[in-house]
Amino acid sequence: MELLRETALVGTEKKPLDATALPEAVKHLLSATDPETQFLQATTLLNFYKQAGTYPTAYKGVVDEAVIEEDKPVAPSELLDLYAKFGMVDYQIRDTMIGLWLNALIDQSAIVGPDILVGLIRDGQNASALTKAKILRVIGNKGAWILRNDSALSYPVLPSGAGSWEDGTTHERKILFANLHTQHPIEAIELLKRTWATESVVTKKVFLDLLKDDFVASDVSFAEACYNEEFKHQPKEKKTERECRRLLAEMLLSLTDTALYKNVTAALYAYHIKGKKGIMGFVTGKEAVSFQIPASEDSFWNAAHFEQAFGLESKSFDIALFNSPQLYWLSCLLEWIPMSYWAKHFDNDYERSIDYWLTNKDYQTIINGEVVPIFRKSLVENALKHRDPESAWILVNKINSAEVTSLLPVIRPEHFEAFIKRNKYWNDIEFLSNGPFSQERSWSRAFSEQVIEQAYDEAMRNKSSSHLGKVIAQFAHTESIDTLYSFNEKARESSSYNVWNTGIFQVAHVAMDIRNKINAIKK
Amino acid sequence: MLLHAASEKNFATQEEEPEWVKGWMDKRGTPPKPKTEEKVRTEEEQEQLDKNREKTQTNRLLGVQEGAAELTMWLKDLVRMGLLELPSKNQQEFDRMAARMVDAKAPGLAGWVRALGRLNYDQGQAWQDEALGIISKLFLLLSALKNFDRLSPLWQQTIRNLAGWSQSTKELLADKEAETIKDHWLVVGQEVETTSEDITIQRNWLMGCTHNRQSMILNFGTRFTNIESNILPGTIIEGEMAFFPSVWPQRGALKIQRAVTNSLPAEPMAFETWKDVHEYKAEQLQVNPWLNDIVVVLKDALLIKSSTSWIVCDSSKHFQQLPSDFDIEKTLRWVAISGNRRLNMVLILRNNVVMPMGVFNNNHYHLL
Repeated sequence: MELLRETALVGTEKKPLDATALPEAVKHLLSATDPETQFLQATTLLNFYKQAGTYPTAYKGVVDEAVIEEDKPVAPSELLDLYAKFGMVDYQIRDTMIGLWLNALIDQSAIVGPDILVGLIRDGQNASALTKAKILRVIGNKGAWILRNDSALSYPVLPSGAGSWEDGTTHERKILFANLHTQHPIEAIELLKRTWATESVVTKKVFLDLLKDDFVASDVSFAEACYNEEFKHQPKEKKTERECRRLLAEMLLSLTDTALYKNVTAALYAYHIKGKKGIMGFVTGKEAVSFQIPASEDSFWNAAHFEQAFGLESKSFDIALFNSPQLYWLSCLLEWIPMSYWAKHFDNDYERSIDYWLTNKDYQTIINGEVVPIFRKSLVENALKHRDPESAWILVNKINSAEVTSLLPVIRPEHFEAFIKRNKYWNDIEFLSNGPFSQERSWSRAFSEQVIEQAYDEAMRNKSSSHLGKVIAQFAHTESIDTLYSFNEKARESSSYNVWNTGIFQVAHVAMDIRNKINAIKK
Repeated sequence: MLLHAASEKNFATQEEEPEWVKGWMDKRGTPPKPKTEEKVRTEEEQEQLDKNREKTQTNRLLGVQEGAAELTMWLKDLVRMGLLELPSKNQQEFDRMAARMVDAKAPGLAGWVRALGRLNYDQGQAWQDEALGIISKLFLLLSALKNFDRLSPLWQQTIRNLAGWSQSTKELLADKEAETIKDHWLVVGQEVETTSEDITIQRNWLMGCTHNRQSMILNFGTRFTNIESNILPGTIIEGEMAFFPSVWPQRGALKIQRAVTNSLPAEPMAFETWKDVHEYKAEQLQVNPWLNDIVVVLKDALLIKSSTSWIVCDSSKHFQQLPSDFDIEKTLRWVAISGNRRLNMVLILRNNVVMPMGVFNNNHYHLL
């Protein structure tokens, strides 16, 4: 065969075929006399000769015969069949809808069947990080195998979970830690402790930052150990070490059972001054309260203490807002310590407390000719950080800025609906889509029907947008689908039907139908 | 048009358009005529018609044989100069020779030439074996065309098909003499390919669950006509399959279709090992040396990711390679279905590689 190949490559003109070297079975069948035909005859015969005579070879490597068993059941077919419908859902809300479907699977502790497993993993590649994390919980052990063996799939997670924590990149470990901490905080801390001693201070800061966003009581002992020992103030410490202390102080001050919280709030007590009843006091029957920072440094309000206890500097703050480091430090404490503490000094009246911090002349400044409460941002952050619906609702009604939108997810549903109604934000997508609602928590039925009606009116004025349809698709109460259908029937008679149909109806009804089905399966 | 008017004979004309073009023209042409009774021909008229048909066939054969002679010369030139010339050949050269074969009404031969031009010459030395394989089969076909008159009618039919004579499904279904087999036909897989001429070819491979016969149903489409096919991969069609005459009947068409189900009446016969498959293939190549796309079922097959590619391993650890461009998603689907369990696997043997199509699990066929 090698002889034949050599002739084939260089050509019969340069190297004629040596027929004598061919196998007997082939040689005696050659009838041609010219070298080219003889070569073609020989190559044809040898090709079939080789094909018939070459047996399959044996695999030399180790055959992995380990069967991949699943430890969770496959979800019922009525739930799995819904997956095929996501192709019809508007692509901008598909991720949300798939998330809803994944939640149903997770609630049932079930996994997807083999028929959709690969498709789901593939489709999920472009999904959000949250959806990807959910997908990882429903693909079972076979799905995990696929992820480990197909490098083209970009799921930024550790291939085999906590088992290879040590081998993952910081980014992968961040995702794994955050996911695990949401569900099993104790396990997550144990995982973190496994490599804590060998981590760089920069990586430690990354994980403390993550922990801060989801800090719970079971994390306190770990955080206190770090705060009291590892990140205790040192005369020559690195900037990152100080920042770690700040993060730890922030965490420990957010929970009322920690030693730091108790010490700091006890110390702050002395600065709340209750004065005589003023004119307003006589009217309301409430004692006037103020918070007074001492004019000169004392054992609490001094640069060394704030740096050592909270990792806060006496420089690098916004001088347009704060005219002294003390005010900057206070803004941090106002942000970190729950509003329940600050309100305690105002007879547990949140509104009085917030009013005090927003309206006290000592805590206001003028920027571009406008009076700005210097603690506004801290109060908003406090409400968001502690997910405090009462503070958030008070602030929504008192401030008039872009920060209102960020507070809406924290307020109570009934307050959100009242806010939309009062301000007639029926078609304002930014507000409507930012309520305290989730994939599983929809608007009330009455409110949903009102939104649908308003959307219909807008469409009839040819003003509708598909964004509104998408918001309805995600948040409208599923029982309001009948209202959607009845307005659709009504719209058929109108010349604006196309606006309604493409902008609202088509987008909303497919998604609402799927949500209805998921709800029915859950029940 | 001016060139055509000046030298008409330099332009190749096709006497008979392919079946799909006919179908398309029929559909978009004049509005359907009211059905009239078929014209009854006299014996004389029928005789004349048969004579004309025979003359057309003879003329076509002559044209093809002339084309074959030209291609043989081209092949000899290639061999004289050596295959090392192939990678540096301009693609247009292959296209030009393929066009000559189309002009000679031998599109089957044109396909072999194009295949030679499409080899991946950048991928090491693999192209050398592939080129030799193509040249061997092509030379054998050219020799068969040269000796056409000495072949049996069935062989002549087979060679005509290989050279590119179109086969009419309509005529097959009307032919009472055609071989037909009643069975539950499992649609084991489907492949859709679009040629450089924008023709879409849909290949459907079927296996008879009782008689273990295999069949391939071909459907064609163009940019202007979609493929009309009711064959759904993974389903089981209870019906009667008619086969186009050939020394190894493979291409078929469903003559009668009774029901479509998903339940398998019986699993088709499976080969124990790759050695058994190899022996079967060698026997079939003796019957038809151009045979390709053979459907087989391999017992207890396992897909393994070796260092460079995926392989299919049998119970005795012998293996066959998957094509380098095989869709990885299918191998992942195999993992999803089997969980790395050995399952009976349906494969297509194409050239020197195998293509997994599906697996049997719990008396169900799962498409990969």
